[in-house]
Amino acid sequence: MLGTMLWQNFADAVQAPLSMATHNRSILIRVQFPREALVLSGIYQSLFNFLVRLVLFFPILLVFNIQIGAGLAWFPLGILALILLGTTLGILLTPVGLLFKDIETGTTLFLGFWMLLTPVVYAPIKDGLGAAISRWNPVTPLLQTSRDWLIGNTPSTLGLFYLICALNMIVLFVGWILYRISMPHVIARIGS
Amino acid sequence: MEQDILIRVEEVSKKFCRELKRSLYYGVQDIVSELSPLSLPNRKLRKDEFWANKEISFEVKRGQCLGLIGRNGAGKSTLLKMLNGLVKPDHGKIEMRGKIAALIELGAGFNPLLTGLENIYVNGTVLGLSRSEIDAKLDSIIEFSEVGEFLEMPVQSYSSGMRVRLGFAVAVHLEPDILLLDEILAVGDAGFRAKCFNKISEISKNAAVIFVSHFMPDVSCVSDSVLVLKDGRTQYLGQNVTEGIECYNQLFLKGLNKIEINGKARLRSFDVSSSNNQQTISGGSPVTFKIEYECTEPINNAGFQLDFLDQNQKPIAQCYSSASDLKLINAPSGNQSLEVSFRYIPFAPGHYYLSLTCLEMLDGSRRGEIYFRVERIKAFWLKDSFPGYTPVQLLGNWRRT
Repeated sequence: MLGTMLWQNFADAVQAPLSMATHNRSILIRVQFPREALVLSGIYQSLFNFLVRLVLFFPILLVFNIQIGAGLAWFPLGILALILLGTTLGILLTPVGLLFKDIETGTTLFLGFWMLLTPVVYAPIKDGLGAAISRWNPVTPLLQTSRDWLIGNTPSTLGLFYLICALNMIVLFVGWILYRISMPHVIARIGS
Repeated sequence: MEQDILIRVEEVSKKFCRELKRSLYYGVQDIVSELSPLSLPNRKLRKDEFWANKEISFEVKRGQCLGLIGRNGAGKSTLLKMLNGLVKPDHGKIEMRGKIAALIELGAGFNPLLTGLENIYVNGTVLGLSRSEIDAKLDSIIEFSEVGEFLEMPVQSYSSGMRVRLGFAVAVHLEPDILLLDEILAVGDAGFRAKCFNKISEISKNAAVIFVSHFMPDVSCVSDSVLVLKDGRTQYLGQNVTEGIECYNQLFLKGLNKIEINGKARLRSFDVSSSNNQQTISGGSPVTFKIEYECTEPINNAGFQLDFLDQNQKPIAQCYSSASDLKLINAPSGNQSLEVSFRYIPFAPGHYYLSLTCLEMLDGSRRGEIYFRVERIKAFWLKDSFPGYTPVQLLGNWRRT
């Protein structure tokens, strides 16, 4: 339950930059404005969606009598990390995704599959192939840590969490430069 | 500072691809090659590509207005998009200094559900105004747009003209250093057009303007230099606006196609005699058109109708033989000839077409059977007349009383 909510933030953020760009395509090819605005508004949208989900979620926490831990203060950081990781992937997909519509459809399909590979609805697998996949899955530590923070467990994967966040910032920066460089080319191809 | 160059374009080229899938693939290729520092720009055309713009160079200073003209598909809009920074040129360099306002697609970014007032804010922000700037200019924008009582209505219920007016009103209040105008004056009613023109000339005193239009009187009225594009290449660039427009009109001369209807008679030849060559007619001098035709069978009550068409193929003047004393009753079969002369042709400088019809004139100037008709039989360029706004320029006798 909690896992799905957290995962949904990540999935939202992956799709947001591309869906923003496709929806505002008509402005994109006609008006010159900072293209980053689309990414930012994508992030805002994801955050807003999260807040809506949170409002719906708290009654459930009460009904099921789930204890909220002291780590709650850190919880927003976990959410932000998930959204930023999603944004990084989204920003990398956007230029190509604007050219080929298949990317957007494919992303939705792939995200559904990825969710099953991540311990969202089940406990983390300790050994075997599942563990290996889980180890190389960047979403797992973010999700685990956020969940631990909310329900008051001591996060077991905190080191990995910070490592992934740091790496993500680097990739996000590279992705942003790629985005800046490629957008004029993309607009030239989809324009008119 | 008065004469500083605001737009400098050097050897700018852009290629486009005809085939969609290949175009998308090339797009990916371009991105990759731009990212790798080693790859040199590819100056050759790949398969299915063509030059939308090729080696275009010009400069526009503050206070100048460049008229950008050319046939459809000549690359005008592509060039504007590159100037606006929407699209990157494949080669060459574009330097733009100052704030750019592009009136390319008016009302782009209007949200149909928001009211006109809200859209002024949204659109203004998209075009780069801050909220306080819009607040300060709001009254002036509302007044200019003339939407009046509809301001509080959602834009989806606006008429197309109202939407354009609102878009234009916001855009002209940007106070730009560079103004790009793409055929936007084609919409809107006459009153609003006039208002737009005044606003544009007001802005252009303090800005560099690039003006795209297919309507030559507008171009000659606003621009002080002209760039004529043909298939993406520069055909003419210079300060002489009249010469530039002539160059533009020459582009159409090759596309002269005749549509003929042949009935009981057939045209043999049609000639223009004027002091100059056949293609150019001087506005002040006499002109004679010589018509030779052949009747395949005897025709009765024949009349001739000469139509003058402007460059858009729109009839602007006619001359009927039956309006004169000429009567062609019971013409036998065989070759005939006649001529019609004018003291002068009272048209503004420009490019015109002639169509000729021979038809049966019935009583009371009703028209009967068509004996023959040749459309766009002749194209001519009229020069040395007064460059007015309308095609027909009457020569009146003005005096003080």
